[in-house]
Amino acid sequence: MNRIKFYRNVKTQYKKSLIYTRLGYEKTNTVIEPGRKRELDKWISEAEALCKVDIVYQVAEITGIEENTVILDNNERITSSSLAALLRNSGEAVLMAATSGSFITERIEQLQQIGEMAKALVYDAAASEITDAGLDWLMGFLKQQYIREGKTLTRMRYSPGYGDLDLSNQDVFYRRLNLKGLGIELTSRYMLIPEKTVTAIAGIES
Amino acid sequence: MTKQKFGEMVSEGIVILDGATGTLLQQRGMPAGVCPEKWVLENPESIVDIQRQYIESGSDIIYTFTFGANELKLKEFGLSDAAVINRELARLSRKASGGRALVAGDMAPTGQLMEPFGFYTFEEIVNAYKKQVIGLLEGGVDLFVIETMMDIQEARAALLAVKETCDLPVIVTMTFERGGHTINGTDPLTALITLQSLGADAVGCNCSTGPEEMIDIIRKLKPYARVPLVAKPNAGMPKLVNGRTVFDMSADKFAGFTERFIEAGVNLIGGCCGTTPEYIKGLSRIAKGRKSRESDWKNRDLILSSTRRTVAIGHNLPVCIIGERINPTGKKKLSEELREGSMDLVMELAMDQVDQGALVLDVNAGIPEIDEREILTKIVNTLSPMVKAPLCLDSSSPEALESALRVYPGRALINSISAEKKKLEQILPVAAKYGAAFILLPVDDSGVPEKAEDRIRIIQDVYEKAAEYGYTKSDFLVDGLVLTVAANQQACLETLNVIRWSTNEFGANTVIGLSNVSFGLPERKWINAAFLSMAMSQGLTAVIMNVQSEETMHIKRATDALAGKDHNSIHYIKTYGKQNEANGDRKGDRIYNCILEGRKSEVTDSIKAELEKGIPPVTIVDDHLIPAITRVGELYQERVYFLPQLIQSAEAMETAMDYITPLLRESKSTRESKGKIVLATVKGDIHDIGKNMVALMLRNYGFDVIDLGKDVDSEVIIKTAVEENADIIGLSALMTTTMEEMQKVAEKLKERNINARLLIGGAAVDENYALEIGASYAKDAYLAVKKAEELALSK
Repeated sequence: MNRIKFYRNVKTQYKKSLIYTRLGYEKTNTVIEPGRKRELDKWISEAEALCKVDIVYQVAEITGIEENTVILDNNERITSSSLAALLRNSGEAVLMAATSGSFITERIEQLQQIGEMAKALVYDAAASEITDAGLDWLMGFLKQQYIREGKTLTRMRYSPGYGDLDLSNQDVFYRRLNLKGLGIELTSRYMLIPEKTVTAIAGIES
Repeated sequence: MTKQKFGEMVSEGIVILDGATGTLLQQRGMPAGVCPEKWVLENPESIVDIQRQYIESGSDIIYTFTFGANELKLKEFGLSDAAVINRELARLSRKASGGRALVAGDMAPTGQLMEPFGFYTFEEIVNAYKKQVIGLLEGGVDLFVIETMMDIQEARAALLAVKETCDLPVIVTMTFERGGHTINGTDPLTALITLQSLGADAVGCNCSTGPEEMIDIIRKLKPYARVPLVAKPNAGMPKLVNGRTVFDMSADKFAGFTERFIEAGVNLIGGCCGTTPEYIKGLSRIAKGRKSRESDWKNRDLILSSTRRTVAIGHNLPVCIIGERINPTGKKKLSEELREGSMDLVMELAMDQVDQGALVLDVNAGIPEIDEREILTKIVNTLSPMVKAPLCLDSSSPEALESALRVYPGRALINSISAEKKKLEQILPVAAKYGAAFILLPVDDSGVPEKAEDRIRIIQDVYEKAAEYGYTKSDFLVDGLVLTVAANQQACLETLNVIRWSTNEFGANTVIGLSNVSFGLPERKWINAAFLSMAMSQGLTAVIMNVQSEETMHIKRATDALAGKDHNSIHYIKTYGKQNEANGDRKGDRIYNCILEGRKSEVTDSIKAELEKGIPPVTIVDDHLIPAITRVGELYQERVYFLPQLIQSAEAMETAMDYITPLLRESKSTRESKGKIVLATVKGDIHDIGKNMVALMLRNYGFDVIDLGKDVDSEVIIKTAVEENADIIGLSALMTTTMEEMQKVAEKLKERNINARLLIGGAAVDENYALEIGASYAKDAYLAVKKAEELALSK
């Protein structure tokens, strides 16, 4: 198996508009006064400051692809027909994870306890977007390195729990990326703690 | 080659660079997965042949094959002698050139991140690059090129490594994604400002995009470029064809963009991924010998940068606010935190000031008996990744300034340089080395001149000295020097004279430290606001001030609009224009508007005011609170409000109800409950923010809510519902792995014949699933209220 690579405290380039969209903002309908908009933007900045985005990834060899199963080195099998379709032109795959750490989730919890629900809601949406942007950052970073080697990454990435890539595959990512070493916990229901942690897989095409 | 010769060469005509080499080496047998630099050393004729072809196609400059030959990249292949590898590869390029083209020592990303994101320090990265520079120099390169940089700080490290080792010209090109930023969020203009002020001899972009996108970047940069601009596009965007990555733009089509590049203002042009000597031949045929468009850099704006933003200060722009609050002088708490090395308050002050309108942040670490160098650098390292506003380094210590400037990943402003001998001799060279802008303080060793004419003489003297280091009048701000009006009423008039002279005669931008003017007077805010307006009328372009002063901020915005600096009063209208009109004809109803606008901190006082007028509590609920929260619901349903607005209003309503409920009880006019609901996030699910929102909304609308929290066992839910005689059980689940718990509860309700309705929600479930298990479904917190009302009524 290839080495696990780790980047800490990455400054991700999230889109504020996507945080607003997560919260139900509709460009053509929603009206928000400047003062309130400033307040929400400030909360987003505060959430950003609390998100310490760590990123890990590992390049895995794809040793076989069957109709609905991807086989990685070490004979690791992931069952998903949509993933098999995504990786059909890939000889390798990138398994990746991003976490925003526990400060942000602890703060969201505290805010709820003291009745600051709107703030908690905005922090929560911001943290989700910022964590996702961590994986965007990694894909951009790797794409730039691969392009000169005549390789590229698949446009899409899949995460456990989406489509037919069952959430139970979280276990594969957890083990291979040694997420335990990052202080991340996997529950018996395949949830990652801290809550703002995401995993995904993309293909390397050459 | 000297920097001057390089400048002359570029001004004589467009310079042709080379194209890609990696794919051509693969065609010559370089296998995948090997260290390309090592393979080339073992197969030297391959690179010599390719580079000769580029020269024959028209390349004036070829790049050494050392893209991955920095110490850290070589380490990944178990290679250690970076200097030797670079020297030998440079010699191969010299051999290929045979004097017919210049050889540029190629440097590229290390693939590592530096602190605070990675494990390498800035100095470790600089030193790694220095080893490469030394090897390339030994191999006889004519100039350097730092290319495909994704991180502006790494580009700075490489540039400093060259600058601190030799005097050869350096080209720096960054790689911008299709959206126009590096993956770390630096836009092209920010990169240009940072790199040209740090001493790059040409700046531009390569890789990532094709010619179309890159033309646009060059065109946008041209008005701000003091140095030649470079473009090395890919042959289009990569596509997967028959399982292989290809760049499918033909050489002819690629060359077809050359005219537009020249029109946009490019000075050096070549190709990146997917290009071959044929592509270079095509563009060389069109561009060679042509003169580039003159740089139209002539504006007087001073431009600062952080990693992700530029801030321009100029006469046709709103006055730039430099936030003054990160200064421990007279601030006990900040002093204590800085002494302890804590950056929490610094971060808070930074974010607050930016939020309140500061475009640049002044940072000062001048506390007696602390290591100012260490603290100032720590502040810079803390703020620069987090805050987009550029920093103004406020120190008179050359050591502290050098240390902070070295790691500051943008173009900073120094506060300040005066004619005092120490400052001129020690700070000016440091400022020049890192390309920092500065505030020119008209003070000399004999003290603060009272009269404007004496200050003007000092300004001219300092400018003369700064010009020797390459500074122009758009690289500094003249400080009008504000003295206390309480001590001398003529003082402020002298300041205005300096600002007027600098604006109209000297031609430089100006700044004042505002708050000095009102020192010792009562109600300082009025003096500050009035003086700022007076200074702005004389042409002031920047002000160091406290952005918390609302009065001063109002006057500043108004003066910007009146002076035409705020074009079409856009900022003014943005700040004061679009107020909420959702309140319809109830604009004067304070309680109603507190709920509608989610102002929970004001709602209790509004209620008290009505109670004092003798209005009964029940009337306040029925005539103000209920209509307001009903209107909020309507606005949410119409999508005029989105979720944060709904929840802010719900919080205000809860605050209001908490205050008024005991009063209702006293007056025996309690509000009737709409029903009792047991809420829980199911067993195994740890996400409960959605459920908490629902609880808040239900309480608002008159339900009794028993919230059991998260990760709750189905037996506990059932037991509570029975004991409490609940009308409804509300369950939330986020994940597919936990939603089955909802079915368990549904089955148990049925088995035990319990007469409570089941309402479910959460990301994993939908209407169909609800139907399947015999429950009702609500998509969001507001619809949960509506559904609960229906269920309670039908029970």
